[in-house]
Amino acid sequence: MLKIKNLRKAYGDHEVIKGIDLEVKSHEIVGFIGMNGSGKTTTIKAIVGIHSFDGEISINGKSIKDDEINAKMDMAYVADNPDIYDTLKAIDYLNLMGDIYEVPLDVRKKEIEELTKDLDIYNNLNDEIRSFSHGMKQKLVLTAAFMHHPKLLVLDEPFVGLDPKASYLLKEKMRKLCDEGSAVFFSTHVLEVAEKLCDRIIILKDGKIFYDGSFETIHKTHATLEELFMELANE
Amino acid sequence: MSKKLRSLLKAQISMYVPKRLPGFLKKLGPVLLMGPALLIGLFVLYYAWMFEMTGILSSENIIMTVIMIVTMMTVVFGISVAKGHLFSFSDYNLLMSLPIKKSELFIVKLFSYLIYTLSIYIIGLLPSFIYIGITNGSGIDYYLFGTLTIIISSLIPSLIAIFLAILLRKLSGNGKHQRLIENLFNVLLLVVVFGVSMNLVRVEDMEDLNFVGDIIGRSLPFIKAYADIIFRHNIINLLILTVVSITVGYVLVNFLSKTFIRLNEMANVGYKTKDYKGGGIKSSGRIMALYKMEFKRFLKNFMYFLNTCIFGVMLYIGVIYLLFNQDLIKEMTTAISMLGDSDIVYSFTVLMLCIFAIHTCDIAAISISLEGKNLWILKSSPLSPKDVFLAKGLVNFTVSMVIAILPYALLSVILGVNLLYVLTGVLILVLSAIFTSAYGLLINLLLPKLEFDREIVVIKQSASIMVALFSNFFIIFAIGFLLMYLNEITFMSYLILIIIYIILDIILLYLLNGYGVRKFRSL
Repeated sequence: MLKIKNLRKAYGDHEVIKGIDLEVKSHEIVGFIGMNGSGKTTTIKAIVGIHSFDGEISINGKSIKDDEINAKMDMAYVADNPDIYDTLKAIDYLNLMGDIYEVPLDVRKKEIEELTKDLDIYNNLNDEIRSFSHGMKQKLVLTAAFMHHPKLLVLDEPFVGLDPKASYLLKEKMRKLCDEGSAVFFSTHVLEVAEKLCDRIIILKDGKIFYDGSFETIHKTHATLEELFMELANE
Repeated sequence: MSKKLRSLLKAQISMYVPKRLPGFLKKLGPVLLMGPALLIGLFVLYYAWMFEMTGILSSENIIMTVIMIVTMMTVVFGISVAKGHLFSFSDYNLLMSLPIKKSELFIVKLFSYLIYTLSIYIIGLLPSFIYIGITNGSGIDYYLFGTLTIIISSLIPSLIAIFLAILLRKLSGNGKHQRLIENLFNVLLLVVVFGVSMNLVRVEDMEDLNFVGDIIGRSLPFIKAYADIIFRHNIINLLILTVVSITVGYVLVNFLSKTFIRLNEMANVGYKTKDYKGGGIKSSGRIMALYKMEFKRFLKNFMYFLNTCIFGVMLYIGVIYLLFNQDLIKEMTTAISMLGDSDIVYSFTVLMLCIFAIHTCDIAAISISLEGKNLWILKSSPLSPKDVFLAKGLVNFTVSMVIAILPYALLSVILGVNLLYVLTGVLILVLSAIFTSAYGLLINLLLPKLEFDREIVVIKQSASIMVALFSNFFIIFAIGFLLMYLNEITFMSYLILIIIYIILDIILLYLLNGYGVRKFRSL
């Protein structure tokens, strides 16, 4: 579902991503972890088309460079900071995203009602986004992301700011999306969540992949993911 | 001033200085803050120079007119500046959580507000004041009394602006119609300002406008008092002015200090609508969805509207004024018959006025910058850069048409313009609206400002809006000079305009399609 080949990204003379190859298959939830400044957000922003890059990235077989629109139609992105249009009402923002992703009206109505009720923001849909807390904005962005059933869901630290109920629901929805044939690729600093939720883990260090594998492999040599991560940090 | 206060004040001022500057310019930070004030000063100086050169106003009346203009500008800008400095400021939560006294916080915020508005007033007036002094060969007493007057009187418009801003805040509250009330208030203020200005001058008195001084003196007696101080060294008036400034300042600042926290608490409470009960879910195409979102952003921000549509508003006011003063048309006919067939000249003059309104409608020039931290939404969504350009350009185009086509049609009817010229004029207006939309987008792509904490910084101080505004002036004047070079205005002038705009539009759209797309992707 997601294929990355020899991804490189530099800001001026400073190379942030130094040649990454990775793949995320359908039905997989892949966790993407690393130290602060290791290049996680830069990698994610390259995947979703925010940053330019060297290398190849394809989503569901479509190149993000050559077939940008179709590739993005199959994808949804949730940023680490939910900076969205403050002057819009929540329902207007969802309509905007629904129009951009060409979500049919009947599907839109059903998904918005179901998702926002689950996330407890249904009653607030008439409010301007400026009145939302960080967590509520995050929930709104998640609603917009799930609304069109993306083939690839890319999230950058999605659990930050969510209450326990919303965190639980998000995990459920991520798993359900994968069961339907999609893939999820998300970055997190919460290793316990990664251990419980992910099928595979990718650890980034200094712009390169330090580890890419399942938890079975990790547990052969390390008791927990945290132990492996601390080893990485101390190297 | 304590060290803590000094540090806070320094941080406040640095927030309003452009960040992306070459090293040597960064040191001029506080000076650059005065940029908008300097532009106002130069703008007003131009008028002072014009009046002085034509001799239609005496020096005293020039000074009074200039003080009136700058006072009004300070009040109008001061109201929106007060909103961002004194209440609804973005760092309220941070500052309230710090170990600083509320009185110290108030002092810092008041200072940062006053620095801004006082600079607009003082720097706005100084160039004209100095120019008149030089051309009149005035002595040291002119400069001494004048400087004192400008400094002491500078507080009054800033305080009036605070008072009006508080009044507006109280009136608009936190209800559903808060923004509507704010916008109506600001429009009313504009209408009053322009209404006063337009009633000061009548065409039949064009040869000698010195009665303006009498009118200003009657409507705004404090300005007459200033002129007395500057030109007749009236020390009594100077003392009265000083006492009034200090008294009004003390009373207002005292009142504000008591309500400062409450006003800010009120500002931070959002409006809670009734619970959503379903509905409101609509579907439209991608471009239309973006267009609607962009239009809402434009309409919800009064400074965005004011900064880009001010001349259009003046045009509407002018049309309404002409509707009730049709004898003015006869006076104008005599004056402009020297330039050619009055029928063509009328229609062409009207057309150029409307083109000017369109060229000053620079909505597109900041539309990409205003995405700011939200740019990730457009860049990660299945939208091509051309979709984004089309939606943003269409908003600029729509507003341009609204501010130009209707006044053009109305003025053409009032002045009895030939239908052929009207239709040709409409075509020219459409082409010029395409030009400003595409041009604005290109300028913004060249000079984006995506990091800001308040939209007003982008709307008023960004490089793209400054470049767009002044280059559009230049383009209009260049077109005007080219046509004047042809000596007489005929239908050929219309055709030349059409050709010029078609060529420019093709070039700009080509650049937008290539360079523009690449630039957007690199943002």
